[in-house]
Amino acid sequence: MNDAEFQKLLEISWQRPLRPDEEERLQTFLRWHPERQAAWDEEAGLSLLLQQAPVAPHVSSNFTARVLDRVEREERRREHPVRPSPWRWWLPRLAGIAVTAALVLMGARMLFPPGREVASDSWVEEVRIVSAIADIPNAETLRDFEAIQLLPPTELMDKVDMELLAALQ
Amino acid sequence: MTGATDPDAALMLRVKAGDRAAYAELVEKYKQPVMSVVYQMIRDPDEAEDLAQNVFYQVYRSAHRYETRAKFSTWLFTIARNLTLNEIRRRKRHPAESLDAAPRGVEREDASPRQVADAQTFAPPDLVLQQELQEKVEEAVAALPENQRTALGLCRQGDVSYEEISEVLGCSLSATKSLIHRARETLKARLKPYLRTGVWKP
Repeated sequence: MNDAEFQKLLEISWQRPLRPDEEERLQTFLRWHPERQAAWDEEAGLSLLLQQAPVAPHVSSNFTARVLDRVEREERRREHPVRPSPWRWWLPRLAGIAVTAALVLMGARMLFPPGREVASDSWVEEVRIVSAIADIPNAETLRDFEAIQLLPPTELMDKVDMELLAALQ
Repeated sequence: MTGATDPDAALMLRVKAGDRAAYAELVEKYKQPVMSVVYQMIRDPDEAEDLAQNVFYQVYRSAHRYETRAKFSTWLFTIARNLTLNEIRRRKRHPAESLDAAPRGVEREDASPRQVADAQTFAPPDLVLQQELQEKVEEAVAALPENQRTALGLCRQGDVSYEEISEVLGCSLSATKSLIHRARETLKARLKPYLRTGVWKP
């Protein structure tokens, strides 16, 4: 046996005790190379210490059960995903509808501003003034009136034409 | 050993097909070896056990990707090592002190902190000496660089070949043996007073 074989036996001994045939080969080598005995004794001593000391603390007795429990929880979560409650589904939609309604109302307010009511109020007042001055016109005049109503608006149409009223009387 | 001759690979293929009993069998068989791998890198028993459980959970999630190109144990130990290294890197980026770090050496039954029995008061003297010797060995191993500790830890398991160890570590066979040799040389120097008989003599 040469040094390479001695090294190989050493590497085997790092992992497990030598078998009887391996032990015999080792002893034969050491008889021919006694200077290697001290090195072998040190290696054997260390192997004994390492064998007696645990590589790691023991795992807890419920280790496997805890692993299986986690796996089962994961599978249950996949098979039955948690559904959101009805409120969780409706609340965002109601909020969206409310916002849309508010925007529509705001738009309507902008298109039909509150000042139009003042215009209708002043129009009633003007009719009252006119009715105080002039009688109700005849049918022909009323027919013309409708035509006049359909004319495009001008600045003067907003105000009662007192001169015209006087002329009609 | 390929998948055709590896019984654990056959079990893992059953896990891949959804066999829960096969999965439980693998967990039961490899829980301590995986714990040993993880503990070489994270020297806290509770955290190492939590991480060991994560390893098996990762195995479950990765079952659909398992292929019998390598021995099952090699694949498993590689996952264990990579997961632990990732955890170590994550902690370096976000350091946080573990408030539950507990003393070593006592088996954990529940979530409560481990407690160490007063061995010096109640145990026979030989047992006390033996426990102190084991603590010396534990300290010496803990002081080794991580890659040497991991290589030595896998070697000490006895049924992991040097070829497998080199695959797990991602280095050559000669580099693996070199790591183990250097680890042992360091331990021999540090534990010299105890080497002759394996018994501590004060």
